[in-house]
Amino acid sequence: MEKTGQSPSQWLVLRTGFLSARLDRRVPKILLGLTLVTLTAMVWSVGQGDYPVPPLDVIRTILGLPTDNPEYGFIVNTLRLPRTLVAWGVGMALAIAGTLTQGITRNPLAAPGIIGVNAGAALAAVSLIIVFPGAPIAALPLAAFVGAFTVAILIYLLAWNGGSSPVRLILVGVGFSLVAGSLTNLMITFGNIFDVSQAMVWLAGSVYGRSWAQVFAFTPWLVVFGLLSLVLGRELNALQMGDDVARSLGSRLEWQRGWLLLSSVALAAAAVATAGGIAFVGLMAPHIARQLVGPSHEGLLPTAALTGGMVVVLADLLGRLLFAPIELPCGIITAVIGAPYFMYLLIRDRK
Amino acid sequence: MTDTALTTRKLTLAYDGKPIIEGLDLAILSGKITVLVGPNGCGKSTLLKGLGRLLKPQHGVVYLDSTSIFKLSTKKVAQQLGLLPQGPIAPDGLTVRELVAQGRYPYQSWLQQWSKEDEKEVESALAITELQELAHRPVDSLSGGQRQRAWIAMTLAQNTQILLLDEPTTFLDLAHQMEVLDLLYELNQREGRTIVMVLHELNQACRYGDYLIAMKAGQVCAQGVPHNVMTEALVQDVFGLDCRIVSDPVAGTPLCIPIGRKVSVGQKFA
Repeated sequence: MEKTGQSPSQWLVLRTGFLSARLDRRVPKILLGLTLVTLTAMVWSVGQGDYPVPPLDVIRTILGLPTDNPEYGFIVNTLRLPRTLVAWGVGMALAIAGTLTQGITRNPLAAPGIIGVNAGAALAAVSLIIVFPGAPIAALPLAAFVGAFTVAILIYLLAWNGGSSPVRLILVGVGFSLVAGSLTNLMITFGNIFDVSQAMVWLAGSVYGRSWAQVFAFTPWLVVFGLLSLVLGRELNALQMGDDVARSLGSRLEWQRGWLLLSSVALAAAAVATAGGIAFVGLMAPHIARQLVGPSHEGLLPTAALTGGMVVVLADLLGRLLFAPIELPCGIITAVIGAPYFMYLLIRDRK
Repeated sequence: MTDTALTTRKLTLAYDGKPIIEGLDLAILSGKITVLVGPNGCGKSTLLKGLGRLLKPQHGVVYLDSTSIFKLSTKKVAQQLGLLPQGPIAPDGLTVRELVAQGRYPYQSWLQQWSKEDEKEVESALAITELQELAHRPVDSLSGGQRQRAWIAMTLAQNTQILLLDEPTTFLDLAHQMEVLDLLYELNQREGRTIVMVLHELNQACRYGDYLIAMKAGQVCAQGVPHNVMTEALVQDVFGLDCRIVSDPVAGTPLCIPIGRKVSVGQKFA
C-alpha cells in the first residue's frame, strides 16, 4: 500500500493494486471531531433525566460492565439509549438526503422537503389520525412513509418532460408541497382538537419515547441507502457541474439522477416516519459540512451525515435541558436554530 | 486514424420537437481546427451539442470513426470526445484542481477513483494552462479569463482526441481571448488534436480556423478554407451585413471590416 501523504496539496491519496481513491485531507480529522462531540453528547443525553445517571456509569452500562446500581441497566439500555440512537440515525439520514437533494437540484437552498417528502408524510399522517381516529398509532410511520414516497414519485413523474430537469423538479416540488400543505391544514381545521394536538406534536418532530423497535426498523434504511449514496457520491460530483458537462463527461445522467433521488427520498421518508418532520437539518448539515471539507461528495457525504447526527442529538439534549422538567421536541430546537441560519444563507447568497 | 473525425448523416436535431437543424450531412476533418460561424440562433451550438451527443437526434446519425456515437457507451465516447459548453458554472468552493480532476471521470470506476494516470493528466493539464499556482484556489474566486482556462484544463484532462468548444472566448477581454485561442492552436499543432469551436469573432475564426463552416437558420451556407468562405457576399447573405474583406496585415487571412451606417450615411451627407 502506498500512501502519498504530501503529493499534490489538498488530498490524501490511497493506492493499492486494484484500488485508488482520494479524499480531502481535512476529512478524517473532521469526522473524528464530529464523532467525539456526538458521543459525548449522547452520554450526557442518556445520563440526563428525572433519574440522573453519572456519565461513567452510562458508559459502563452500555458496554455491559457492572455498576453499583442494578436499575441503571433498564434506564440506560431500555429507556434512554434507543431514543438518542434514533436521534443520531435520523439526523444522519436527513443530512444525507439533504446533501443529495442539493446536489441533484444544484440548489444550495434545497432540502428534502423540496421533493415533497415532508409534505407528503405530514398529509398522510394527519389524514390517518383525523380521518381514521381509531387507527393505531403504530400505523403512523407507515402512513407517513407511504405518503412521502407517493408525493415524491408524483413530483418526479410530473417534472419529467423528455428528461428530468433540476429546475422543473424544484418548481413542481414547491407547488406540490403547497397543495399538500393546504390539504393538511384543512384536515387539521376539521379534525377534533385532541386528534389535532396529537398530530401537531408528531409533525413538530420528536424522538420522545422511541424504543429499540424503531431503531431496528429504521437502521436498514439508513445502512442500505446511506451506502448507496456513498457509492453514488462520485456521480453527484459530475452532476453538480451541470447537465451538459456531466453528459459530456460520460455520465448516464437520468439513471444516476433517478437512483440519487430514490436514495434521498428513501432516507428522508424513513427519517420522517421515525421521528416526524425535524426541520432544517437536511438544509443546515450539508452547508456546515461544505464549510468544513469543501464540495467534493466523497468527503462531503460522510461529513454531512455526522454533522446532521450531531445536530439532532444536541437538539434533543438541549430540548430536555433548557426548560427541564418540561421537554421541547428536538424539531422545535432545530427550527429555532435553523430558521435564522436559513436567513443567513439567503442573505449571504444574495450577492 | 481516418481523415474525418466526426461525420453526420442526415442529422436532424430538434428542441421540444421543433427541428433546428434538418437533414445535415457534414464531415469534420481530423487533426484540424474547424470553426462554426453564423448569427445568433442559427443552430451552431445545437450542432455542437449534436456532435457531442448531448442532444439526441430526431433522425440521422453522428459517426465517430465510422461507428455511430449512440452505439458506443457514453464513457467510451467521453474518452475520445470532450465538449465544453457555453458559460459552465462550477459548484461553490470547488478548487481549480478539483474541477480539472473532474475531467478524469470517464476513466474512473468505483474501485479506481484516482489512479496515477489521473494524477499525471491533471497535473499536465494544469501545467499547459499555466494554472499550477492557482490550483488550490476556489474556481469562483478567479477572474473570467482564469476561470475559462480552468474549464479548458478540465476538458484537456479528459485527454480526448476531439475537442468541441462552444464560444470558449466569451466574456474574455481581447488579450485573454488570444491567450485561449493560442493555447488551442498549440494543442492542435503539438498533439494533432481535432478542434471544433463556435466563435463569434469572424477575424479570429479566419485566423485560427483551418476550415470554416458558415451557418444560417440551421443550414450550412458555405464551408471550406477561410479564403474561400469569407467573402463579402457570404457575410451579406449570412449576417445581413455590408462589409469589405481585406487581407489581415499580420496573418494574411481574410479580415472582415463592417461598413455600418456611420460610414455609409456619413459619406452621403458629406
